Amino acid sequence: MTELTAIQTAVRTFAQRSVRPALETYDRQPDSGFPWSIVQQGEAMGLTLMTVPEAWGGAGMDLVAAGVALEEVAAVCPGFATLFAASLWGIAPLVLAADEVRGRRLLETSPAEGAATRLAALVAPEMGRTPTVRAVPQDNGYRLDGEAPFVFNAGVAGLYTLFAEAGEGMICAALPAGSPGLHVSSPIAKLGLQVAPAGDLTFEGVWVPEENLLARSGDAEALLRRVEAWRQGLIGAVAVGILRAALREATAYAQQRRQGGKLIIHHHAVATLLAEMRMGLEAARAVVRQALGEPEDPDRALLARLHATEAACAATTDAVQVFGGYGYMADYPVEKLMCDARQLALIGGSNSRLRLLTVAA
Amino acid sequence: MREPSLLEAYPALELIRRSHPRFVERLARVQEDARDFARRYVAPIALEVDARVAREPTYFPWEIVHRGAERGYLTFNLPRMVGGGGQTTLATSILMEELCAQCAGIANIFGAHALGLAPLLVGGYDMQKYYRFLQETVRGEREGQPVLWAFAITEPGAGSDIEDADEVNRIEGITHARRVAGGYRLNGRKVFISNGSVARYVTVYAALDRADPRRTMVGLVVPSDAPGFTVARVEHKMGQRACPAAELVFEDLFVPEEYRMGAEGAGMAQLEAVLSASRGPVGAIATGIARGALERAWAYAADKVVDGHRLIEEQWVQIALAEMATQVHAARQAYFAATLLVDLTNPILSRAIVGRTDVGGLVERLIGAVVDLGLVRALTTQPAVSSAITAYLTERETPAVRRSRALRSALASAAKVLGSDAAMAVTARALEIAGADGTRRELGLEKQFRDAKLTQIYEGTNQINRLNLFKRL
Repeated sequence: MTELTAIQTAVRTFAQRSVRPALETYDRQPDSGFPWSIVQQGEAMGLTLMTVPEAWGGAGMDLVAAGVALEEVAAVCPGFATLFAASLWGIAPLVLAADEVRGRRLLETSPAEGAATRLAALVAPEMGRTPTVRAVPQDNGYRLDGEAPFVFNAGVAGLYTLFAEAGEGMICAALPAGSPGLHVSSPIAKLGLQVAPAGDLTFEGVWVPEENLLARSGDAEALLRRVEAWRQGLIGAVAVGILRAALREATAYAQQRRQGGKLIIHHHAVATLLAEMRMGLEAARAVVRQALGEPEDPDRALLARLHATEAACAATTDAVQVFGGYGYMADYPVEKLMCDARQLALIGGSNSRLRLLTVAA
Repeated sequence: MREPSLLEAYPALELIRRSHPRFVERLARVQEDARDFARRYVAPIALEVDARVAREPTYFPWEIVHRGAERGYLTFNLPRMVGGGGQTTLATSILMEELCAQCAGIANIFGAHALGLAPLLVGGYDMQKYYRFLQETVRGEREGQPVLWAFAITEPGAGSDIEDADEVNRIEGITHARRVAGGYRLNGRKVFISNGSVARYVTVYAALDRADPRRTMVGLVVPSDAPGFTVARVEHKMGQRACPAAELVFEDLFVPEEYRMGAEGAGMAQLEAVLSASRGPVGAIATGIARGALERAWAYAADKVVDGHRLIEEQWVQIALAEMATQVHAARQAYFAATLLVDLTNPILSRAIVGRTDVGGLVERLIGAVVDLGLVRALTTQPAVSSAITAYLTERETPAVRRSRALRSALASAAKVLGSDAAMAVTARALEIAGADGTRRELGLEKQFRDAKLTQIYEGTNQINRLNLFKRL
């Protein structure tokens, strides 16, 4: 626990000192570009490679610790947290399937575009869908064709891990940014998580060498399930941070705003909303922690994501309600949280469909 | 997915149509015209205006105001006798639903404008005084120089308190009107005023005595070019961006006596009447947003191919679309009932609906159900008759009249709450159907999601409306 507490304290300080001051610029002004300097500071703390073994140059943290760290960042800015989280689930196939030699080589030869950081991105189908990228054997490797929409960290990642349909099952491979034939769209103009860029990838005869192959057929499918467990669990951790921010902001406002002769926190109409936020937060944190502690159980991670993102969407919408008209304005912190939560809840599929995958038929 | 016809949208109208075909035909024309306007002019610019205002909050799409003026949308429910459209509250709601299915921000420009004019129509005071304002508005519309209005009640420290007679006296530093020779000096601050930065006139509510706003509230027409009128800021909003929300500051602003609406102290009653008539249309705004999201999500699902089949073939999508359609339907019936009641309890419109002109029948209905004394006086063409009716009703406000007023307010709150909750649920569901794709700006769904949230907040938060509903039951 003391190690977790140390991580929490360090990341909280980073979030307060580095992330918060950068919010106004990078979250509010869409033309500000990518926050390389903050990401580099995060990298110096190990945030981009939290879950990578120390022997490969990572921080060697487990998922529970990564979840604690992400919650701290998300409690200040869900966009920054998603950026780090997407890198962690992007690097998951490597950590889970590569040996030290290959892992190091791929990491070291794939610095992020434009800076000496090591951000990764995951190209995977929505859970339960087949990959939209196709792989055909060619010259000691595979030729990739197809499109992959809405990839987080596209355009800033140095390393892409991807799952592609190879006819007889899937393959998983690692691909450095800038590979010939790999086209990245400009960042998608989207609802929320403005700091975390997402883009559409087009593969036009991209060649990936055999040595970058991480898994094929049955192994690739098993790997994808494990990667999804990371992704869903980490989405859950970001959602927990959002819940915390919503509850914190709404409570603070309700403690100072007066209507009807008393502080609004004393009105049941408002207190009910705060109580539900708290119920959502406590339950979400518990299920997310449990899921991150058992990453070999993908179902648990999916359930945690479903619960946490839905609670985050409800809590942020209610937080705006607590603020009333002010909540709808960009000068107050909650409308951003509402947009961020909804964007997060749609990563890798929407909850309305994903919940069906929790049913063992 | 096809847009509903008038009778598909409001099946109950079939019964009214059998006895009053012209009333229903008129509504059908409103729907048809609004739908055409929304498709032709609103839809093509909605996303661009939203994005542009996000970059420059002071940008205002005057072009669409001019287009709306060509259709009579700036005088839509002004009396015909001054050259207005003479449209009902129900017709206004139909207009709002159609515009909001394409862009709630643009619709709200026209909605906030109508709200700004509303106190002139429900006030219960001598029409001669404000004739000039109505005529100026009509003339401006005809001559291509739109005269926009705004309605200003909300204050920095008082969101809902100012609308509530039980709470209004608690407000500190409420906007103050001091009596001076020939009029008033206005001092104070109003926030989140839709159209506040672009309006020619703002209808402002202020207290003559800060210690007792409840009994001294007064409504004033404030020209925006009056010395002492300042637009302090234009808000950076999450959605409904086409319609600016402004903070207005009044510093020793002189308002001539003849710009006062109704009697000194009549303000709270006017506010209640205005809000009863305006909350139903908020239900219509919400319904329009929800319907737009339903239609877009349907089109997306019908078009999108996943794993070799259309997304709409998946049962979870079908269930979601059906639930969304159910919510849109319920929201529409709620505002239909609320706004039709406003019209039925409005003597002149009621007369138009039933096609009768006899004063006897009018009085009979008034005793049973009437609320808007102002309209009686304003719209009845024979001054002697109107003042007689007004006097009669003022002295004999029967329990039936009070019940009718309470029902009107309750149904308006119910329509507002039900509609806005439906708008949030449906727009969120639409995003679920389209997944991450749905959050792309160019699809328009994420804008509707952002737009929807405001409907749970303005015209009294849903919490306040629930409490209002409770008090009226």
